[in-house]
Amino acid sequence: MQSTNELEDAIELAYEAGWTDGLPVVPPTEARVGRFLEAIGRPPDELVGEVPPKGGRATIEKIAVNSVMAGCLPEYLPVVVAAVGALLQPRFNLDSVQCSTHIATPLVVVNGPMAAQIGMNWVGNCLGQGNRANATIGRAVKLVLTNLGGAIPGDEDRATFGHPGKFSYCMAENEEENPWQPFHVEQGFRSEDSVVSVHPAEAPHNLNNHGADNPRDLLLTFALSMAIPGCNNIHVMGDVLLVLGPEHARIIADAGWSKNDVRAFLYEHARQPIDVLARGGIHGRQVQRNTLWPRWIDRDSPEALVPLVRRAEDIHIMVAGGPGRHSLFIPGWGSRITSARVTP
Amino acid sequence: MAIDVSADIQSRIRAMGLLDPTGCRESAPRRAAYSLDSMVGKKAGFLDNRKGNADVILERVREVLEVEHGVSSSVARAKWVFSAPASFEILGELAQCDFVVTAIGD
Repeated sequence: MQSTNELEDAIELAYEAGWTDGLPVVPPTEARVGRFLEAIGRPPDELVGEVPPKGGRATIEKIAVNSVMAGCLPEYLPVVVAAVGALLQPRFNLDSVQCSTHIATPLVVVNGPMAAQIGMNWVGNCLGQGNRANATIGRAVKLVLTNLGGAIPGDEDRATFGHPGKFSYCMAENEEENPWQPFHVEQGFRSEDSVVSVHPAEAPHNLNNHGADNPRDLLLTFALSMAIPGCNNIHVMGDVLLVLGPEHARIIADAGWSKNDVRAFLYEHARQPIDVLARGGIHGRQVQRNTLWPRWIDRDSPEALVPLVRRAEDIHIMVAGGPGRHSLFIPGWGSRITSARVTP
Repeated sequence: MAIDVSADIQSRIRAMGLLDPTGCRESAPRRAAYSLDSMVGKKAGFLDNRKGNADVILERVREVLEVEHGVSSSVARAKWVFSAPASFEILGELAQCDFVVTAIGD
């Protein structure tokens, strides 16, 4: 493919073939894909897994083809492959996340030295536009899920709305300004490992507090903003993600609080009474049928308080972003955050 | 998806030297189970997925099948949660039935 016309024809052909996310793709020529396969050095036919719901075989080569189309550089491919591996862990429940009417789509978060090596953004606007690695890795993951999993909008992807993160939803953790252990170390990996974590994620909800000078006031803002009756979590539990901006993280850490302290406070305060959830909950008044809430909740007591998640440890905490007193609450779909090590 | 792409598009993809990013599993052809000639004396299974009102629908169906169609016995089970597959234990119990009815509520 040499000429401008040929390039334009290839881009249009990708649309005709149904390969794109609505944006133009880089044509996946053999030469381009070959450079990616050379960079990763793994057998092209090595199977990472079968992608639900339709069971497309995610081989290294197929993931490379989708990564080329997304606009990745060859050195990003190991991160995309690891993300696919994390998504296929049963605890993520990818089959249901792909097909649900709910808004969730995977958020991809990279930890460890690879993030810097490939130039990812973990500071200001890390979930916005402007960084090639963030933008194209997230896009490649979603193209894999669509092209290999068959989660085509209106077909197997039954999302009522979807959200803009379904084009790309990817960042790295701001380990430099994280006053605690990085997220992947908390998950049991070594600090020198590069790790990709995926969260079945709603769009980010901004948590704005410019006034608090202590953890309790700050976290009360968060707790009140997290126990949302219209979110999946307080009804079906699962994992949620709190992304602390560095300035908020510093206020909390300077007061001597650990991540477990944050989790304990939020678990205690991010709650809604049964009465509210029965009247305003997503499944109406059938609270007696909820088998997912902890057993100790007295479902016959209107005043009984239901926590956002089953256990405090289901509140996951990361640090990312730039200057400014903002943090993010990213509700989940009801399943789990999973992680996989990047193997170059 | 690749299996739906017309021959014309496929030939142009080959001519341009593009690699296919798709690859959905082509499942083996399956046929629906044979219909029962009659429900009289048959054992029915009911699988409630725990969506809202699924149990209400299934209970009503069970009544109709038993009273009006002669179903002799039934097994009713509920999944732990609607978004996950039924357990092997539940599937094993339902496999003992002559037929199974499931429901999505909402």
